Amino acid sequence: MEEKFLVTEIIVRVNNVTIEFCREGKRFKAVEDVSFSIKQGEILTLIGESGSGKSTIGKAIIGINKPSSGEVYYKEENIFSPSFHWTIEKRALVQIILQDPYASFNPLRTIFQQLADPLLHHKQCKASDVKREVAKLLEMVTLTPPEYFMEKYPFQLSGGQLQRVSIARSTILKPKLIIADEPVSAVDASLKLSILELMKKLNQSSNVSFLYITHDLATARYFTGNGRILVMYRGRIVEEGLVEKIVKNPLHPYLKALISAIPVPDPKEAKKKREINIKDTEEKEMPELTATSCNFLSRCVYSKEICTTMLPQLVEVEPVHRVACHLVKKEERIE
Amino acid sequence: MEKILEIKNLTLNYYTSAGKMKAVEKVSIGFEPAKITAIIGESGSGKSTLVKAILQILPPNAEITPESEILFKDKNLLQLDKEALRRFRWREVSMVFQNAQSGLNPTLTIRDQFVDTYLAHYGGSPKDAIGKAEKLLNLVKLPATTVLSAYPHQLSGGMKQRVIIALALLLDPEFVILDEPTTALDMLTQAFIFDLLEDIHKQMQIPMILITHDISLAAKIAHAIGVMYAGKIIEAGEIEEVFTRSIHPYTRGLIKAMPSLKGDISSYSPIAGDPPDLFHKPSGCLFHPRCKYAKPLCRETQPELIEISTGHLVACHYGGEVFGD
Repeated sequence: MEEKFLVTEIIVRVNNVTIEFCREGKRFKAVEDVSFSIKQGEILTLIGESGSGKSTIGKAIIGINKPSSGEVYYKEENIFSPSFHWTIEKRALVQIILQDPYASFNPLRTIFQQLADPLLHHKQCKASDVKREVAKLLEMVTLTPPEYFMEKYPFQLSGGQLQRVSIARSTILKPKLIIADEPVSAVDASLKLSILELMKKLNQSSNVSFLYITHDLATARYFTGNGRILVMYRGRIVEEGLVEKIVKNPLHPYLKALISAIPVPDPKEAKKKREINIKDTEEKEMPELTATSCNFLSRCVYSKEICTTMLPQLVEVEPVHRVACHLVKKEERIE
Repeated sequence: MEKILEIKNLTLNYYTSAGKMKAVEKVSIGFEPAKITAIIGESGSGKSTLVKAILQILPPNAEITPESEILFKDKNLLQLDKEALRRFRWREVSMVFQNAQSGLNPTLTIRDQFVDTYLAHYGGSPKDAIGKAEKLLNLVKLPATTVLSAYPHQLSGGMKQRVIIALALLLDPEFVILDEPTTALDMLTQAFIFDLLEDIHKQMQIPMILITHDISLAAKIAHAIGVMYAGKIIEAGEIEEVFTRSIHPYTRGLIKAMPSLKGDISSYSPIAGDPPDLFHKPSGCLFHPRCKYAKPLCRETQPELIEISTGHLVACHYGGEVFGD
């Protein structure tokens, strides 16, 4: 019994996952050899630009994208194994919050209907209690008075309000993990923080884990707190570590460039000349990836011979800080 | 300081099935030559409507009240006839629209879009247009020959946004409006686009308006700033003045609610509440339901925008007092 308890600490494990898609008649790898695990109550952040494969992984975890190799485990079960069956309990384990709340609700049904349906369908409460339960959910996400919001249709709410409804909806089945795929990138700057704070509170009060998928390092830093962050570039994890450490001491040239590109909310500081050390090439101009060179090669300003002949592996440079770059050597690290 | 563009007393209503909505209410703001002014505010604050009124590209259900004035080099834009407007748009004031994904015609090559714009607002020959386009595409650091013969879907988001910036400069405008030029773009692409805009501004000294909801982007590029809330300007001034000595609780909240890579994360705090319903605006100060300092006066009377120190305007009853935090 005790042994089992230890094993169940990890809720989802992604193991050497590669996901391929077809584009313009060619196969390409959207995600390549990605591994990580999420523990109970943990906040893990996946950061990367569009096309880096971060959402593709999120969708693999809920079973939508099937990996061409590798496995996704819920506790000890591989969800892509032929013997795996999606039962209601297993579906309930992982829930997702999507980027555009207007696209993730039925525009023709009221908020009440859309929250009551899953409650009743999954027998989370008695039919006579459903109104009270919906009210509780709305109050949890600070949409008060709940009676006012219940009768609204999605278009009658602001983006921030509707995103809070989708957070409420994601908690109905009491999941162990919530995947939040760019939950605030369509929300106003003034409201981003309040939505993130809501999710943080949820994490603390019910110990639900979060996989936060984003392209915005500043919100990632705020939300991840003392959790880990995985940096993706063109399908691969290029750096991994605790968020505060990674922001102060980035090692991969991509992450370094990303950090120098983030604007500072201070006019004096922001107007100083800053170097962004990355080649200013657009995605459409980038060469195809090969198995024998670094994924970042076409944009790297530091590349050396070895980068064109060998794919760098993710190596630990210090505890909980791993990086995939030939130019980062252990000895350089220490000084 | 002399102004190149001045908005005076602008009130703009939208008529919808749900009733009349005041999108912009008695806004007065001036724009100085050779400077970038940022207008920040959340969605629904009226910032996009305000700049659409300058070019008069408003939807048919919009109504500008008769006492409003928009003066550009001493002519009232609201009194121009159709033909004068056509000549004015793009040649005198041009605009970089938000959402690069839909700002270009998907069925025309980039070359055709440059030529069409050139001929419609300026005249001349297609050859001149292409020559000018090539120069501008080089300016925005795009390979001119490949981009000109491409269709929009063949370009990435960042490339399209650069094309749109080049297109806005096609007729050597005297004023450029940037309406959220980098929403939906990646951080690195955003940084490169802003570096580019900074360079263009340095080279050409074109005055610009930057519409954004991201206060850090305003800090990066703008010289002056106007903060809008629910259709009104609630604070305006030189950017450093407004950042270091912000007075309105909303502006102060915005600065605190902006996550960055600097500072302790516990020092950030979100702004409570939600943006107001524009059909049922609150009484008195529009911000009072979300303001933790609100007093009875704030619920009753709307504060006027007053000059609190040279060039620094604030609309808050208690603007002169220093708030506790």
